Amino acid sequence: MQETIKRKPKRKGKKIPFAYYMMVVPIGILFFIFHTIPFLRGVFYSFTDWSGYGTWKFVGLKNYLYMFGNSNITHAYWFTFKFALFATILVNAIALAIAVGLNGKIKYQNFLKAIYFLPYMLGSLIVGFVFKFIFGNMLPSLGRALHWGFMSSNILGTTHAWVGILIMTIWQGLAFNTLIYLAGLQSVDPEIYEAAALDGVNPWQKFMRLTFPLIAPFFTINLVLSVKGYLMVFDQIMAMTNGGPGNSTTSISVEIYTQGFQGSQFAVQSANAVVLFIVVLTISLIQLRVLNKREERLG
Amino acid sequence: MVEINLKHIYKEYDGNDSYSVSDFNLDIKDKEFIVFVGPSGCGKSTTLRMIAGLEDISKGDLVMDGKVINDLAPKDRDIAMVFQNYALYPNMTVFDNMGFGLSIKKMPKDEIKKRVDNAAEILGLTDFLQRKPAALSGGQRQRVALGRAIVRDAKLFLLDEPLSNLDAKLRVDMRTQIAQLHQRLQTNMIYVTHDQVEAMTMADRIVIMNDGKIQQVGTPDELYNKPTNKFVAGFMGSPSMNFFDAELKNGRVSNGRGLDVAVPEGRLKVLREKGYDGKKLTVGIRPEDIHTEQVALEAMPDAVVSAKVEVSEFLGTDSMLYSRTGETEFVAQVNARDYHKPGEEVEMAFEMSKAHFFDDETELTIE
Amino acid sequence: MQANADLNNNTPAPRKSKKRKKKVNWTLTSVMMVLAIFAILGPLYITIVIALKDPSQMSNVLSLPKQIHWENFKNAWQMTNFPKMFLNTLFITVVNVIFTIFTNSMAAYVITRYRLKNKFFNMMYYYFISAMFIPFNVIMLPLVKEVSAFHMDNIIGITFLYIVFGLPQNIFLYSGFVKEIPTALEEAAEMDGAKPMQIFFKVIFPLMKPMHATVAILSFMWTWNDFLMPLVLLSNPDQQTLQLAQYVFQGQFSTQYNLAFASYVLVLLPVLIMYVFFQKYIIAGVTSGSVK
Repeated sequence: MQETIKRKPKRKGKKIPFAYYMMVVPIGILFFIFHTIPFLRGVFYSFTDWSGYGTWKFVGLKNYLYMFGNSNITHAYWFTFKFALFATILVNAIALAIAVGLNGKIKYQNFLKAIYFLPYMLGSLIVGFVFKFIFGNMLPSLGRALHWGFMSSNILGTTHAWVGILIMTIWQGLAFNTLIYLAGLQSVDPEIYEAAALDGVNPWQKFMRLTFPLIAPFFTINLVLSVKGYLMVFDQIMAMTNGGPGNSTTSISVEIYTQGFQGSQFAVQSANAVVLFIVVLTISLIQLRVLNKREERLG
Repeated sequence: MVEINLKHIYKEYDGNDSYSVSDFNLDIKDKEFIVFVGPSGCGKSTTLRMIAGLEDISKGDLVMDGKVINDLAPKDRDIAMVFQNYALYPNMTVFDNMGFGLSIKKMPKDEIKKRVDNAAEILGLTDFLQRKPAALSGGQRQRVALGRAIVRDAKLFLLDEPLSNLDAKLRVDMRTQIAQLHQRLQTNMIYVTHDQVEAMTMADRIVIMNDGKIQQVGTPDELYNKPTNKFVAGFMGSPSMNFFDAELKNGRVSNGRGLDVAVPEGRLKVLREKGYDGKKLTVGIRPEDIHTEQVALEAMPDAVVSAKVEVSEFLGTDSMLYSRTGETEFVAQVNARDYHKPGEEVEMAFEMSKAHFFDDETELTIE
Repeated sequence: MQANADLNNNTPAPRKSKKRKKKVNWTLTSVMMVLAIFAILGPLYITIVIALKDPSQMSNVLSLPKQIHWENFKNAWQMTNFPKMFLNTLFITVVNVIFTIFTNSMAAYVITRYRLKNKFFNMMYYYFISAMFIPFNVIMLPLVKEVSAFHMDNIIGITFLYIVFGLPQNIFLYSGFVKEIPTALEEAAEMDGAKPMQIFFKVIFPLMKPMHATVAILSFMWTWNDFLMPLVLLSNPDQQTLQLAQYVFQGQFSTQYNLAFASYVLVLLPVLIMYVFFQKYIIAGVTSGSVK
């Protein structure tokens, strides 16, 4: 984008007809009213003690300081980071493996691709309910029948509940990531592999030295979207544990929702939302920077 | 009756200090076929787009039939345009592509059909009217683009490098077709190209541009035989004219690096009158004015050099001899029957009566 | 891309993959097949089987039903007020897709075309692109206040919000596409006498078809499966979506798993049917939406 700006003259010297403004400005104003204003109001409330109604006064950074001292909120951050980290790594590693498999010399490739992509189509809430049943009823009864102790209780009721949520998230998250990796693998010119074969490259070297660098842009897309998505995790937790047991699986989004709407922490949760925004923004920008740099190096 | 006058037209882009087009003056007569030619970036397309109304005119007046039309919207100028990449609407059939402008103007359906059918007939597109552009060959797309202009029945046709995307053979065919079209439609046409062959073969008058400025306006013959400066001389003609930086002394021009030939009396007189005796100047001679036949060598004994052929290109009737005398390289275009192998030493006569002389500083023709 | 190909007569023909005998790797094929069947289709199989059973057949969850209990669907249908929720969701989805395609493509076209020539549109471009970094979760608290103040906490209100909120992503998607459309097309249309709206709707809009498909699929998936926005914005029981209704009715199902799963199937079915028919386009659309 940058280059085109430099290359082209800034203004072609032709007036832009009014009609073109009419194609952008009204919807732009609506976007401002319903997206930007709430955002700015959220930032504003985070410096007040507003409870969602009634009077308010400025409290400075009190809400932010309160956040750091509140064990529920700090735990939500801890849980969310842990969850996002594991989900991102596992989803991407497994998705890449599946994509490599799908890109191999296999039969029924399109059919298999369609099957692996299927979970993307399903709402996380319903998938969460189904997995809640699998973890809560099916596996325990199977475990009891087989006398496998570790499987005879509901994992979602234990301190390992987050693993259950993680498994369901991986099951669903694989679909999209696999599709993107597959698109990446298919974009590689087969002649490169033929040339590598002539150079006597072994399969592992082939993957690490050729395939992976060539699909680096796809890796970037997946990583950025995964992290952003998993930091927002909400639907599956609401479906499977409602944040429990206790508050062990309460993510930041769940915390904002439950305490901000049902609790009385409107202002505190506004501050929480602002921090979440800063976290997501920072992580996304760092990722884009680091990964783009690496792509340049590899390319 | 259409007359177009371009009066001191300038084009300036924001953030760009120099003018993209400066002081462009041209009067176009009725039914004339004008070609703008020049290297890429010389401002020829910008000028065309200003005439079309796709670019604003920074300074100067564009006058059509006595009225200044600088601020008129393109659609009100009664101008049709053919674009370099044809710009056919991919989602419409050939018929709809040609009829689009008319249907925008709310012309009755049967009138549109009449006009489109007529244009299709002229261009041999009748069988393709229901196809989409993607299903046409390059030449057919080009004709649809022409058809789109024809149906408009506009006062002025603008063609922006319309043949540059076609292969060599098609380009020659289309050149003839466009020339015939001009005969038939009897409208004004302005045709932009970077190809001097197209300009030479099609134009009534050529406008040759460089660096945003007009270099010369004239008929193909004038530009070829009486170029006003070194740029025009070098641009027109293929292969290009040979240029030598030389000094005029004792009735001979020599560059001290192998070239040393006599200047015929008539030309010498002019050069001396203008005060170039003993001074530096640039000599230009076209490849076809360098000869190897015995009869020429005998006729011009004091303009013969001995040169070594380095590359010899056989072109059927002619052959190109890329040669060197001393440290001076030049190209000669000779009859193919007079064949010379690379490495051969050949006597060559420079027909200096047809040479061109340019001032060393201003690069203007000395006359 | 399509547009470009049509205008260039020297488009390279798609590279034909060399017709060498492709040796099928059967081991890999079976591994991928087994994994697909157990890991991916397994949970779906469980869902459907449970939905067709009655509680007495639940001792072996994985077995096929001995007797198919279609009445589960009938009961779930009534219990969750399925027709009403379905129509609500359908309304939101369809209206959102249609309006999104028209309004967002229009804005994206103008912004992309004129942002290099005009500061205002360039500003708009960066405004929308930076808005992509603000997730819904961040604005939902104040938004709920604003929406209820405007009395927009209903189906129509939320539809409207979907159309507006999709703007940043869709501008991003369309913008990559618009850049590929040669400006000569608009200039030709301008010479043909078309006005801005005519240029857009008669020339540009039809060319954007492949991107419309992508945007339509992504908008559809978003609204059909969205849970958070309906959860915080829609409170009236008559104004709920399928996903939200599922959440609300969880408690009522308690241990009636067969009913619950029947209602899940009812919600999943429209999407699954669509997937079976349009699988190729959906996959292509999602891919082209993410990969440039």
